Amino acid sequence: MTKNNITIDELLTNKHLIQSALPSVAKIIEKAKKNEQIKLVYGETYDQFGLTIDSLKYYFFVSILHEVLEAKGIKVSSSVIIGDLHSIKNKLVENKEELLNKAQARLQLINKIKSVYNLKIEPVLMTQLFDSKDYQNRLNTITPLFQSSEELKSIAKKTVLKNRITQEEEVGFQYTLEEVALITGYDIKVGPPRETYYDQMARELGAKVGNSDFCGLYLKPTYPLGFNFDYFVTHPEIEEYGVTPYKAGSNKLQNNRIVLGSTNLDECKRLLDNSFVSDNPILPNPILDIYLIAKMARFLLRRDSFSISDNESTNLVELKSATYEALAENIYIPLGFK
Amino acid sequence: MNTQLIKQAQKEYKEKAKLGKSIDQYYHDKVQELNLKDFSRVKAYLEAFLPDQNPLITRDIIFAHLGFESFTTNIAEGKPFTVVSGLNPSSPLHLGHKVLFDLLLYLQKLGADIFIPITNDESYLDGKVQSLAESRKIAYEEIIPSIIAFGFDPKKTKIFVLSDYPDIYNLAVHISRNVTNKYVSTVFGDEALDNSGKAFYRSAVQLAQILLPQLEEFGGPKNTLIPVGIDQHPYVLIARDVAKKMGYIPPSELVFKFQNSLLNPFEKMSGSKPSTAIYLNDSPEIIKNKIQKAFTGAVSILDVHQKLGGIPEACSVFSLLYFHHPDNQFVTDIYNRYKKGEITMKELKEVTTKFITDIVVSHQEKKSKVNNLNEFLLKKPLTSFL
Repeated sequence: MTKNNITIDELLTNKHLIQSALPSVAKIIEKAKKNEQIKLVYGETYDQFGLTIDSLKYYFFVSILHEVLEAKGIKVSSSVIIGDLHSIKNKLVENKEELLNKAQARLQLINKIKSVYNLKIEPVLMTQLFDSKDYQNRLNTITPLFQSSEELKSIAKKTVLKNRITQEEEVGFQYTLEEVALITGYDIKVGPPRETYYDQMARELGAKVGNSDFCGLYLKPTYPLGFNFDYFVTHPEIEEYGVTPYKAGSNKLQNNRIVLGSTNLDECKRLLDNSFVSDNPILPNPILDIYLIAKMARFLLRRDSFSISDNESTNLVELKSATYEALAENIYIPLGFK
Repeated sequence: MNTQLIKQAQKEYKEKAKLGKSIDQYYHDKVQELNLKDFSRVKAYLEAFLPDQNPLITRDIIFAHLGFESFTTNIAEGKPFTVVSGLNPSSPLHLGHKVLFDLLLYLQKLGADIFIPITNDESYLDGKVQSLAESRKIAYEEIIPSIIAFGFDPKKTKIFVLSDYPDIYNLAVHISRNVTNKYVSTVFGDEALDNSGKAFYRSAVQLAQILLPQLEEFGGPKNTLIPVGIDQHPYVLIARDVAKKMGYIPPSELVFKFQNSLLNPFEKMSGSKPSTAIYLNDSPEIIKNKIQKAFTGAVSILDVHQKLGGIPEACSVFSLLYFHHPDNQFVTDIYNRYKKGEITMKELKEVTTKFITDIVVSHQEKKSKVNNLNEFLLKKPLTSFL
């Protein structure tokens, strides 16, 4: 696919980028072809470790999708929600005030990224959105519906980790309901595969708040770097869902992630060199993921041809060095990191 | 051609196709029934990580496991791990045993230290030999040289003949208090325990062999892998339970498919039924005769075979190539041509006879040169539990 001829079909069926969709990629393509206006959203919480390179994948993808839709004459808005309030909601989170204060710095960094890559996204703090009347109305509508539905409660349980189910039940799954109330204000949500359960709830409840056709689009999972194949064999849940892309400390694997402004290039090289890589498309491929992020960055910087072929990972010997070079050239240098 | 004969051949084809499917289904059902894990997930990673595409992996000869995940870190980091796999010395080794030793050799290349108990006591208790002396003789003159001829590393291989390593019986006594007769009877059935020796063997001596590497003498509790045929799963189950009770690490299991009997692909090659097996000491003439008489996946009328094709999955001749030929491409090519009826049974038997004769003759030559038994024999006294 190139700048001039990227089609919505090509972008959304790319096997290296897209994992799945709700209800289906075909339905999202159909929606894109008939709607005159589309509101895209990607939301992320954060932790004390900073902004991961994996967040860039979502900013870049949403922006490219935005451009593809806009080129078809659709009026598009693309929001990146910074979940400041949800980042501190869990009672296990320490230094809540300090973490809340990091939202502004994160917003600043995202705006810098937006400017460097000329992205079409609009970052916004969750705090601001929670103040809106529309959001409050949606929350007030869906809360009693949720409380009376055992089916929705069973889906809600899947949105949280098993060890936090009791904690969430005690507060009526408030976090989940706020999330659902927020995302039902948009048409297509882009996120990691694990978020499908929020989106299932949003589809169930959307009709009650004037959004009967909410869709979820899931990018390929994010995998930790610096591990050999045995890590994935012995961690089937990470093999299936990956780690949370926007939280460096997801599964306490902050040392196995690239954190912008924190992980230097030497460390990146070490992580890449020590990572499992394979040309089998069913296996985790953390290297290819970083390579594709750098490739999207290059396209956004240069606005030249952009292609992600089906055979990106066949030359495994070259992939690691190509990934490192592309990472330095298209992300670290433009953003001023070393 | 006689229509009746053609109809008969078509019926034969359907029956063989059904047999082929039922063999696949058998393994699939066993994985479910015994709560094992399908090996395909681990296989995908091993194929991606390891440069050599071993036929045991690529051809799904290893098809299930229990706890093998924990060994992948050793494999990834090139660190040693421990494997135990015993052998009943009631007959010379045959091609079914070779599958096991190919697997053990492969694991040794991946870093395994291997313990090979030669269970001549079990041979005697099961009535497969007339005396312990006879089973000792087979063990030392036939079995152990044959095992060494496969090319095991003496520094990483420990072989012991049970009746010549009496310390193992002390360990068995030590273990036996943790196993009730009722439990053993439930797992094996009363018919497998019809004399007191069998009961003691299955409830304690077998477990002693499996738990031996976890003694202090060998570095203490550690992950241990037990490669087994599916019929030996109960031994691993008991060992896992007893290991937990005794503070050892429950052993893991790697399950491989059995080498088909020459006469019935649904049964396994058996050392006590000579016509079902090709022994590693068979002469070329005997090998040729046995392969000539083997059950095949082709129908008896050539025209019908060429039209409908053969059923490699139900063919004891093809299974010899499938389990033993090292060249994946060659085996895949034969499989495809056989399936399409492009290769006749006469051709397949010729190719297979030549290949099997070559590997057996080569093995016999290597075996005749073995003169270092002592380097492999385990003699370490066991005292830590006394």
